[in-house]
This record gives sequence, C-alpha cells and structure tokens, in this order.
Amino acid sequence: MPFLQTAKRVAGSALTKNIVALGFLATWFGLPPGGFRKEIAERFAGKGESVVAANLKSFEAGMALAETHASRARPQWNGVDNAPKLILTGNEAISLGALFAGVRFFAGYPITPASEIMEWMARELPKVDGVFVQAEDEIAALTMVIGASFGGAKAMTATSGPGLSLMTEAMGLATMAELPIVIVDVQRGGPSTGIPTKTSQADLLHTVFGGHGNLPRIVLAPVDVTDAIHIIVHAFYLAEKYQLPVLVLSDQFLGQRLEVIRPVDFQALGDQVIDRLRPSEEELVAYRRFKITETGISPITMPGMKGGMYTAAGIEHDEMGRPTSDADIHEKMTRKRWKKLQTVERQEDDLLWHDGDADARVGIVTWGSTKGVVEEAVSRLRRQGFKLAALVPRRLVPLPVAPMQAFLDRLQAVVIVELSTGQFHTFLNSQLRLPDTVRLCQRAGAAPFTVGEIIDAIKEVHTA
Amino acid sequence: MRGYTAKDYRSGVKPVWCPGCGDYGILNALYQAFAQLQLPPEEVAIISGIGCSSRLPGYVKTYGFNSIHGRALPVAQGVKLARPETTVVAVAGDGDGLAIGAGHFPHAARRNIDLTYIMLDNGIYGMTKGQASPTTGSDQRTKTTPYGIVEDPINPIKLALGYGVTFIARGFSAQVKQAVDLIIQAIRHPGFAFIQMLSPCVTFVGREQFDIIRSLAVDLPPDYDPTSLERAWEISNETGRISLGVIYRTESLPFDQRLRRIGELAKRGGNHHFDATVRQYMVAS
Ligand SMILES: Cc1ncc(C[n+]2csc(CCOP(=O)(O)OP(=O)(O)O)c2C)c(N)n1
Ligand code: SF4
Repeated sequence: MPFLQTAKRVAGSALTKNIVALGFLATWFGLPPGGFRKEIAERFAGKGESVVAANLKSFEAGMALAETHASRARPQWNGVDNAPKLILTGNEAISLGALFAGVRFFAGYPITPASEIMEWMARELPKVDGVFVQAEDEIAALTMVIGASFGGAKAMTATSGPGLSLMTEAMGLATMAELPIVIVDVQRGGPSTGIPTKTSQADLLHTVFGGHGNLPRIVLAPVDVTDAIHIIVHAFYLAEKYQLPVLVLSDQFLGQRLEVIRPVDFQALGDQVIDRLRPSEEELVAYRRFKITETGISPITMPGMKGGMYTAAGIEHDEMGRPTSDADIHEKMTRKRWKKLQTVERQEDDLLWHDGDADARVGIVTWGSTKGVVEEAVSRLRRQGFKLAALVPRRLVPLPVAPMQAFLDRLQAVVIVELSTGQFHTFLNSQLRLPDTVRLCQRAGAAPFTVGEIIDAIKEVHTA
Repeated sequence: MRGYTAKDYRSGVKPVWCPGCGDYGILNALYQAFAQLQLPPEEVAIISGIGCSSRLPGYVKTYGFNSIHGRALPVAQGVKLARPETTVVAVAGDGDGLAIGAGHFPHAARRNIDLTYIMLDNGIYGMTKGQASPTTGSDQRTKTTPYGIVEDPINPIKLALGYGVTFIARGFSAQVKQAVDLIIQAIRHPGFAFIQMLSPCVTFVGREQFDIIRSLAVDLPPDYDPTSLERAWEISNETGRISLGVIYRTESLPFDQRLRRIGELAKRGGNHHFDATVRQYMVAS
C-alpha cells in the first residue's frame, strides 16, 4: 500500500505514514473510526493544532485508501470483542501465576531475558510478606531457594542458560533432599553467553537430562502467555506434591512478548494450589522423613514441628535420613525417588496440546513457544485441504509416552520443529518410536520460525 | 517440666570422625550451648556444606541440613528467611567456607542475617584426605603441596573484619568451655555472627596440630574491648600468637528487620489482594 506517498500527499511529510496505515487498517477491519479520531486528537494535542490536523487528515486518507481497495478479500471479523482482556508478557504471566500459586520466597541473579521475573518479585513479594533476595550468584540463588523450601516456604528462582548451568549441582541437591522447588529457565541463544536478547530452545537436553547421578526432576514447557500462567501454577502443584525440582522452560520469544489474552479463570486453578504432605501425629512418633511409600512421596516436616527433626542431605541416606554408602539402601532410595515420576505419569494430567485432524497421516510435533507458528501453519494448510495433526507436549519430563506413541503410530510422516540443532528430535527418539518419514525443521534460534518455514517443511513430506 | 540437658541434643548417630578429631570438641560445645540456652530442639536448624566438619548436623537432634560443598551459608540464609523464629547455625570447613564457598561470606555479612556461622578450621581438606586448604600454613607439606605451598594463607578474621561482620570470635576445640561461651554469645548476637573454631585434623595434619595451637593460644585479656575496630584489626594481624575470644562486635540492623521496613514501604499502596494485582494487566476495550 502506498502509505508513504499518501502521507506526503495529504500532510506534506512522511512522518504521518503510520497514521495513514492506521486509517487503512481501521477500515479494513471494519472498526468504528470515532475512537481513533478522538485518540489521535488527544495524543497530538500537546504538539499543536496543525499537527493534530495533519494526523487526522492522514487517518482519513488511510480510510479512503482502504475503500479504493474494497474489492480485495478482507479478513473475517466478527465485530468488536468487548470482553475484558489482560495484556501481559510471558515473564509477567509466570510471575503472576507464581504469586497465585503461593510463592513466598524468591532468590535470583539478574540475567537477560529472565530479569523481569526477578524485578516483579522484588516489587510484589514484600506486599504479601514474602521474601525477595538478590543473591550473589545463581548457585546462591538456588541454594537459598532450597533452604527456604526446607524452611517450609514455596520458593522459586528464574534464570537463563548460563545461570541454569551454575544451578545444576544444586538441582540435584533438591532431588536428593526431596524438597519442592521451582526453577524457571527463560531460554536465550547459547552456548556460553550466546545471544542474550534472542530466543532459543536449546536448553532442552540440559534440563531434561542434565546433572550428575540419577536425578529425577519434572520439566514443563508453556506454549503461550495464557499457558505460562497455567504451567507455573501446575509447576508449584507438582513440586509441592512430589517434593522435587520442577523446571519450567520458557524462552525469550515467549517471556518478553506482550500478548492480549482472555482473563484467566484463577478460581478453576485454585485446586492446584496445595501444600506438601505433612506427617500425622502417629507418623511423628518414630518419624521417618524418607519413608518408602507406594507413590514415592513421604510426609515432610519443617523446623518448628515438634518430633519432626531430621537431617536433610545431599549425601545418600536411609529412610530416617541417616547417611549411608550401602548399595542396597542406595538402590531402594534411588527407586523411591524415581517412583514419584511414575506416580506423576499415572495420576496427573498429561498436559498434551492437540490440533488438527484425528485421521491425518502427516503430523507435526513441537514444544514450547514454537507451538504458535505450528498452530498457524496447520490452520492455513487445513483450510487449503491438507489433512494434518499437531501435538505439543507441555510436560517434557515425565513425557506422556503412551498418548504420544498412539499419536505417532497413526502417522506416515512427522515434522519435528525446534529452535535447536536437534535436541528435541534426540529426546523424542530416546522416548518414542518415530514414523518412517521424519522431516526435521530446525534452526539454531535467535529469530523465531516464520509460518512460511513450517508450511514449506510440511509440504515437503505431504507431497512425498 | 524439666529443662533440656546436653544429652537431649545427641542424635544417636555415631560420628564418622577419626578418634581425636578436633570436631568432637566443637560438637560437644554445641550440645552444651544449646542446653544452656534451653533451645527446644525443633526450633534449631544446623546447616552445613560438605566435608568432615559438615557431617556435624547429623549428630545433633535438631533440624539439620548437610547440603553441598561450599553452600552452607546460602542454604542457611534461605532457612532463616523462611522461618525467622528458628535458631540457625551454619557449619563449614575451611575449604568449604574459604575456597569453593568463599563468595557467599561477604554477602551473608552485608545482609547481617541473624545466624551463627561456625567455621571448623583445620587448615587442611580432611574429607578428601589431606590436600592443602586456603588456611594451610606456608610451611606445611600436604598431598597437593609436596614441595611446599605456593599461595599465602587466608586470614579468616581479617576477611570477616573487612566484610563488616558484626560479631567475630575465635575458639579452639580443645577449650570446650570457652567454645560454649562463644557459641552462646554468637547465637544471642542479633545479626550475622562468625566464629573461627580451630579444630585440628589429627589424621592429615597430625596430633602436633593441637600442641602447636596450644603453644600459641592466649585468651584475650578481660579488659579487651571488642567494640574497638582498631583493636580488632591489631588482633587479626598478630603473629606468633593466637588470641581466643570475642574479637569484635558491633550493632547493625539484622536483615529481617530491614526486610520489615521494605515490607512497610511496599504496602503503602494499599490493597494487595491478588485480584488487584491481576487488574494491573486488565485492558478495557
Ligand atoms: C563441588 C565439589 N567439589 C569437590 C568436592 C570434594 N570435597 C569434598 S569435601 C572437600 C573439602 C573438605 O575440606 P574442608 O571444607 O576444609 O572440610 P574438612 O573435611 O577438612 O572438615 C572437597 C574438596 C565436592 N564434594 N563437591
Ligand atoms: S580426617 Fe581429619 S578432619 Fe576428618 S575426621 Fe579425621 S581427623 Fe577429623
């Protein structure tokens, strides 16, 4: 559209080209122009009458431009949606969700693109008598969080790749001491310092497999801003219930983008705001902190609880918490800790996001914020007559293997989409049988995928 | 109701320490200090890192946390901030606290968190069987310094003074009575209290470590003024003598009280219901 020329023609300068475009879009989408005119007048009032007039003229010219192209196909528009909306970023969504889930302790160390979560907590936690600490490094941040959890608080930290690397030893401590903690990783380009301000999905294998020893943990990945709220609430739910580290994998593209979303039904999420299992009076008589149970979950005490004294430890221990190097006990306790993940698989929502045709022979699998472009690509291609199905796991560990395998078994070809050099593909291969035809759609990151890239990849296998 | 005696704090777990290890003396001092303070065991948490010294929490019937190498201080701070009512004691070795975990020391100090930090200083890595530590003396041979040591030792008291620690003391595991008294004062101190406890490693330094310390140790004189920063620096610079006692103390607002101020400032805006927080993100159309 000749926005620039139009602006020069009616207002004598290129400056108002965006207002021409605004007028064009308002008409194109069938929006009532009154509100825009009023807004323009107010916005430019301080700059003098002539500026207001130039901008109003440009707006009208934009509208006229749309009319002259009225014959072109216009986007379908069902009128103005007057329902209230929330406008927020992924980082704000995570913070808000965490507050709702009951976080009362946050320790962190500044890092792009996760710092906004930390700054949010610095502002909001003191209002609810929570504690915020800017730690001296990420090791301190996570070990403080672990200490706070031992002290009974719902505690979290947020970081990005370099910080996550530093936290990895302490993550194992939370697994071993069986303490609920939540770590948010807002991924950025890596390795090393990488590209701090750009997105990536290349921390996947670190979060899923990283750390020394046999280290059960849970990994969740929200797909958009609304989901970030749901996922962080669920993260605290799982952490509290299963007493282990829960990692939430976001990324720069999700964390720092503003989205307009429908209000979240927090009341419906209330069921997931729970506290860890505490021992009964009888259980406190000869308290076994790490009691072996059916589910792997043992009742936990905290300082202040009479009769509940025990020593938490990163060192292997028996049910009472006493240190040991006995092979049998190590085997039993290791199995006990892993049993919690089996219980998650059995009892918890599998958090799968589905889209498309149930009888499709071509499928797309992706994770995290890349869901957005995949959803759009699938929707466009289906409108063109393609049969397609998409699957996005929002819980990566433990991966809901059974329903995912059932999905894959129906396919002839699968497109695996990820902003990394193949970590997601490697991970899926380690957990599932993939169809014969696998088309990898991978980039190192920095720029998010475009819908076109996904469509091209799908078309390759769809015609093959 | 009868009061607590030192016995009530024994966990019944037999220490793995070598016979004669200095750490026994500190453990006994802790039992006695807790008993004298009549601390309910469930209101105490002892937090350590990794090392021989860091096995200590398991031997005390209170809450305990034997965490990872170097991280006693941040874990302890997390516990204290989550449960301010709890008496928190952090325990570390000299490697734990002055090598791998040294970066946490100044920050615990500047927060002035109300906890007691006891460093069991044996001048060696005991747990890993005899390598040099940051406090190993310059004339000492160890497994990693077979030809003598390259680095100069760290002086923990100087560090603590430089970092602005508000309570600094030095004790010796062979002088249990004094150690009990130092621990009691440290626990009572409102803020971050540091005690360097000389605690010989009879296995990897040798029994003579006791004799050497004994021959150099002197108690600070009764008229010593621990509120004088100048005197404290003098003591920290001593050579040919090891002064024991409270070396420095001063007053500064502890962290929880600083946080309370922050809380009051944050709440000035009024309504802090979750709904109000959500409404910040509402847009009307
Ligand atoms: C990250 C890490 N690095 C190294 C070790 C091995 N390690 C265990 S204890 C220790 C040093 C112990 O010395 P010190 O802290 O002085 O305590 P001591 O055993 O003498 O009481 C080392 C290096 C470890 N556990 N973790
Ligand atoms: S090795 Fe040294 S520090 Fe460790 S228990 Fe034996 S004597 Fe004590």
